[in-house]
Amino acid sequence: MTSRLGQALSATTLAAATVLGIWVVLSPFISVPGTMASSTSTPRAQSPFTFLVLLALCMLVIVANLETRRMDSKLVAVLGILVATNAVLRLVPGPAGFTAMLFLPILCGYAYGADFGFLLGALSFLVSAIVTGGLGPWLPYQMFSTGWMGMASACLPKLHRLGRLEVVPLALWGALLGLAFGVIMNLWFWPYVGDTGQSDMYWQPGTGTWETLGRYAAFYVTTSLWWDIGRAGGNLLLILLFGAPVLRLLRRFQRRFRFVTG
Amino acid sequence: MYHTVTWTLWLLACIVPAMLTKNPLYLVVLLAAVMVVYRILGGTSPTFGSWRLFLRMGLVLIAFSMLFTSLTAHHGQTVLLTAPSLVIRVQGVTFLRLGGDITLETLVYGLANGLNLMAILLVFATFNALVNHHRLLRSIPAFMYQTGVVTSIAVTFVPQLASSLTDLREAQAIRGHRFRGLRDLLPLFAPLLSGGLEKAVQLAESMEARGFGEVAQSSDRRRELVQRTLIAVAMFALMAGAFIYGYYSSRQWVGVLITAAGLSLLLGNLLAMSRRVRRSHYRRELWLPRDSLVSACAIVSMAAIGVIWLLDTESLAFYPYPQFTFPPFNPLVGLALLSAVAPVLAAPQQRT
Amino acid sequence: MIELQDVTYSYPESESPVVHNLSLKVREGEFLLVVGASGSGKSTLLRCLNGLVPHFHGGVLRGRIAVAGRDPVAEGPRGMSSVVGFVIQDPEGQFVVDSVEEELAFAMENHNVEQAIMRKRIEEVLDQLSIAHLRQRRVHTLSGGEKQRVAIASVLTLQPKVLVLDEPTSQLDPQAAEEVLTILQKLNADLGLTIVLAEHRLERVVQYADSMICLPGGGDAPIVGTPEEVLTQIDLVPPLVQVARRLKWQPLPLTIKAGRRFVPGVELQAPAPTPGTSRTMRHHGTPPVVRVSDLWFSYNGCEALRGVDLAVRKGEFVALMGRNGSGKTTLLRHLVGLLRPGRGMVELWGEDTSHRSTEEIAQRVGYVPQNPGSLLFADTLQQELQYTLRSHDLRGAKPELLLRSLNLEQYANVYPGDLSSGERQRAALAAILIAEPDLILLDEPTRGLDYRQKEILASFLSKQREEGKTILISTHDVELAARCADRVVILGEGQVVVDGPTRTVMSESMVFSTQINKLFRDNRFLTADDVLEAIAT
Repeated sequence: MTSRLGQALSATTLAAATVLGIWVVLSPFISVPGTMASSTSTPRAQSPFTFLVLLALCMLVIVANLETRRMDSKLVAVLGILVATNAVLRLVPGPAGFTAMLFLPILCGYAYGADFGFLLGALSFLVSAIVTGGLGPWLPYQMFSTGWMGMASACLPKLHRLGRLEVVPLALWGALLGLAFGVIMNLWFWPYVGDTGQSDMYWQPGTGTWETLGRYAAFYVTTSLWWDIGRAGGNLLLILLFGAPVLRLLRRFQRRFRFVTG
Repeated sequence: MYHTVTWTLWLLACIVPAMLTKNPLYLVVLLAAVMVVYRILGGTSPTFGSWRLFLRMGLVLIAFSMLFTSLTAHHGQTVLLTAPSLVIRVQGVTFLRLGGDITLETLVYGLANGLNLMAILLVFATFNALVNHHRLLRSIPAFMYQTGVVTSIAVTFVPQLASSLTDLREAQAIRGHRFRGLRDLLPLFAPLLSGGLEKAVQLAESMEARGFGEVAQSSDRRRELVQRTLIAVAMFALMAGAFIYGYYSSRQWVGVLITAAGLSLLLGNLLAMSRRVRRSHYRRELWLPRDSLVSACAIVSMAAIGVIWLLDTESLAFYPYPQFTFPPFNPLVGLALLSAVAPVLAAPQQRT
Repeated sequence: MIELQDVTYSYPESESPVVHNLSLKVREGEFLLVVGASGSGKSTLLRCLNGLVPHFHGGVLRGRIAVAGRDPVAEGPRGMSSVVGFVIQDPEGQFVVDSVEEELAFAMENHNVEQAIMRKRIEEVLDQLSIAHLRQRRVHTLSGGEKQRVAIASVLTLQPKVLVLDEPTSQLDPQAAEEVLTILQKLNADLGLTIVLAEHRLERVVQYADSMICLPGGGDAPIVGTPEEVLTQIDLVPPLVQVARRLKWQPLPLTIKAGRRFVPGVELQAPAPTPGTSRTMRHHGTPPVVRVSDLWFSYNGCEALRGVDLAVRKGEFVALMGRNGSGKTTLLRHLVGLLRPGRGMVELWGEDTSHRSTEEIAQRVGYVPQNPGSLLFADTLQQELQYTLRSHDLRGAKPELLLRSLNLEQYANVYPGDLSSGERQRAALAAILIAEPDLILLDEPTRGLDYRQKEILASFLSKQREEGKTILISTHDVELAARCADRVVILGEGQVVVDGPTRTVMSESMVFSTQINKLFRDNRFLTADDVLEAIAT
């Protein structure tokens, strides 16, 4: 009874954090009706800072929400080691800079639940940054998007019935997330590069928005489209080829060690 | 050299102005200060390669930003040259205009944007080179200790898993296995994962045997519910505040108030959660007088910039439009930014 | 200090109990040695002492347990953590923080110990285990023995009354194992710490133990008593005890020193071995399978091999020995092409291998690395073998035969991860040998194996040699080398120090010699079998 209420509360918090997070991430494109009135007195230069702070707050909320529950030592140890595995996978060079860092969060989120998926995704990038000394302004974006992807993968319906075909929808989902990851990761520096300094150009509804989108499209194609297609394809292939054995491994492990998640 | 907290304050004091201003003069001052700090204090850092990478990335971004802005933005009055233009229209709506008149203003603005990114990158790169990441990880607040332990375990196991990856690659080679495509990665990946999971069970045993997990009395379900409710309320307040601030410019202060309320609720709750964690913390780091000095410097600099910015949000902004004029320079801001070299001045004299 | 009464425990999803009606008493300050074959319930018994069984593993536990007056079943592992220190087998798998000093603090942090007390206890423990020089190090830079000492230190900071260790040395080489065991003996003698140790290297540790328990497994009653009493009743014993039991020496000697006293009274008849009959000589004239000439190699500036010359002929069984870092593994890795010579040449069957890929060399050379787990990845052992066959484009080999000769036939459809360490070692061997290589290279094949597993491995290797395979092993295990090898090559500082027939080399060495040889100091007797045969005649 109480635990169901607790889960509902937690889900609400996560939903709110997700909405705010997505709003923050997409805010350069959402035409804001009121901003016109304030004209140039809200210099856009402040927005990246606000974005970063809001995103960090969203993450803080999600983590705090997870911390209200006591995790047992198996969960902590398994998470820690899977995070390390995922961070190591980043060191394995793939074709065209492809890294397999979304593969495990997606599958683990799907098999072990939302909390697990979120922490695995978010912490993988943090650990990778700590190990390589690569803390940077993109880190909140990476952590939020990967964590969210792990979390969202838990919401997929359980596809056991499909048998061997179980991995096909998962692979498509992985490809989609691979693209989405690229789109989000461009946004951390888009407010700088994309800002023309003229607020009418950047924020005005109607034609201005279209032009903003057009500029973003041009930006996207020149910077990361090809990487993202590679990443999406890589995820698709990885999950198609290894999804089944890895899921088998994760489930076997869960049975063998009575390992409890979520 | 300095305490982790000192470096974190220094990072904040550098990153806040770096994100607030686009004035190239301020950015150049900040960049110079940060580079001096790196050159003098970070020369022997093991993350040297990482710093170079950040620098190179910054340079590429400056070039890209100038090119991209000048080709896609069409403002400013000082036309330098007219390039052939490309216009994409969808159903009569202009979707994209590339090229055309290239103005000095857009080039300068692109440069300012690029410098801005470069400053942010180098501030982080210098922080990376100077702070001890392991200590940084250890200073995670108490309410997040579980996440902290997860992260700490992961950092501990990365070298081990990386070397077992090498072992696995060799093990497959000696079985006559050739790596021909993606599919052949399974023999690498599966043992890495299953070996890791088995290690995790041992590790969990070892952690339990050392008393891990007996820290918070969260078995109290009601308290867990109260905490979750408070967090949910705080989250909604944050969201509502942000939306009101964004969409109702006439009532922005309402947004700010709601956000502040949500934030204080969240922080209060986190504080309460931290209090309930009965776990001590082993610290060997010493807080020296020079730490107080550098921290004070960082706080004063942050405060000065904050006050200047709040008094006049335009003071840090930079607009080259419609016609380029030389950016303004407030010596006070310059001084505040220059104080980022404090770690160098307060550092102990090196014997040569 | 420890009292178990009629303890019966079975793991969940298992019908038969692992531990059956076990009763045991351990006095304060006692050093208890726990032995038994793998799967006999050693680990389970140890985990009962701090509540990991049944709290962590589930299952049903009946009976009464008391440790230092507390009940692990009621208090669970966390509650018991201040009373019982618990160290596991794998030195790699028990670190939470990556710096030594902070790892030591972890347990105290969990118990909310004050900063000042933490400082004091860490200093104490660093000194007790002589690891003060390691305090600033990152754990992944430590050697296996150092890691295990840090692991012991990290539980001692809570000042437990009992220290429980589950085969802490099985993943270590002999020197590192010695370091760890010496520390344990010191802790027991100096601090009066009660120690419960599961260990299969009896010859190294049995003299320190006050009492011993043997769990035979399979529902038989455990044997409890002093080491002398227990050793007279069990099968798996060190060669010294084997011989002493046969010769009815009383009291049973546990050390070479004790055994030497009985030697003058023993009359053994055996023909003196003549060097000319060694197998090595018979193969002169055939081209060598392996020829290494003037091989040099360095790892980032550190010279691992400095002009090694070695020739191995067809059908020979050669043991490479030498201390850690003497270049044994480096040499083996050169033979299979995982490393390339810095200078000099490696020839296999008269052909220079410098332009051959590892995969090509692996067609005729089977190499089993130290950690067999890294080879295995498939869902079943059967699939594992099929995979090797596919990699080599081989068809029609007979996996069943090979599995039977390795005592693995009942595991053909088992997930390799579920096997015990000895079985896993043989599974890895099977995965390599299914391709029928002519040259077999093994790196430390007996690490972590108990006497029974070693025996299975040794007789399998002897059979392979009789079938005409050439075998080269790197090992610290003198008993294995004495039993199987024709020739021993001792490396030191990357150079060949000694190269000669096993019997000659071993009887002339004090370090690389077997218990029996040290006992009799006679080159006719290297293994227990040599002595037992001599008695029979």
